[in-house]
Amino acid sequence: MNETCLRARQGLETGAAEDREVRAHLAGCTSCRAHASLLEVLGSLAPGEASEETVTRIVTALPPAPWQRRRLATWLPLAAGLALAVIGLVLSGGIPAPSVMSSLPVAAGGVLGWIVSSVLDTLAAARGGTDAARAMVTTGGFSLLLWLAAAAVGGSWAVVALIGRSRSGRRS
Amino acid sequence: MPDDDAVVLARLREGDEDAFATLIRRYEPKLRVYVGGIVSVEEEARDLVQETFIRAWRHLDQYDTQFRFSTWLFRIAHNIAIDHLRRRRQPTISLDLGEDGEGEGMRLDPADPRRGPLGELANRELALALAREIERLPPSYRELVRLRHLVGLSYNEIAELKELPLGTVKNKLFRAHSVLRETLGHYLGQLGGLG
Repeated sequence: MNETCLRARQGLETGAAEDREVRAHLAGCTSCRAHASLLEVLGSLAPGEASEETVTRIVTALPPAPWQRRRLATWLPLAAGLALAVIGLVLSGGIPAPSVMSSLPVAAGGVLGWIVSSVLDTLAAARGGTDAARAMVTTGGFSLLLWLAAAAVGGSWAVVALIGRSRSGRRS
Repeated sequence: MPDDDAVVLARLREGDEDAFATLIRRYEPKLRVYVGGIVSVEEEARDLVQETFIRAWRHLDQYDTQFRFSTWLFRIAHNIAIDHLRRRRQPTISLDLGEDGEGEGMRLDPADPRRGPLGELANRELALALAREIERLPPSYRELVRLRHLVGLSYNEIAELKELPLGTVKNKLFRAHSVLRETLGHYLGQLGGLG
């Protein structure tokens, strides 16, 4: 193989088959034409694209994406927290009617006062024994306890989810 | 990484989940040939490639962008296929990602030219001869010829996947082509070159 053949074949390997110099050489060189034919045959073997049927089969089998799961892990605790707040409002005497919206700050103060007094009742019940506990249940203190427990679980969940999210955000 | 893949992955990170379908469309056939060469059973290769995409999808946030996406995908496929072979308790074959490239290699069955990329060749005689001569190549050449022409990877993709210098990949493929040209001269002479 002479220098011209080597250059022509290297040209063919790097996709310069249309190069004028290469084509001129191929016209008079049987061996290099065979090299060109081989590359043409080998080049035709590469697989094409997947069929739409195959793509659909695989896409359908995919689980929720990691970012979809993160989105859920962020929004679910917030939604749970909001739901707990609404439950708290209901327990404390219902959601204010539109006519009393202007007095919301006062109502909020009332709710806060109710929460504080309920907590005090609960503590007193814990100290006072069974009778006091029964009294607490009748006054709604038990509901408050449930609410506080649920809020603690929801809050912890939210904190863990947010920490997890910030960590994965730093990684990517 | 090919620019196209970078664009598609950027779309994916922005929440465009349809972008993943583009990657499936692009890589599924290549992966099927690659995995098929390891497990030798077409149906199993199909399922393992699906598993590859599912695993890639799950761990997309762990993909290191300093490597080509295709390299990452093919490595996942390789691991899945090898695990599958271990479960099947059959000896592992070929397409080792290590340096030596020794091994049995992708099973091209000349007796069944309907299977694999060679089955697409209209010239059956040439397809059989090509399959036979590829099998006869030295292992390190054979491996690269398969990855380049049957799986359809670029020189750069092969270099990264095999962890070889690009120049080595080009040189070995050039020599492999020279060997094939010599052994297939009779068939190639009938084709007549580039028109």
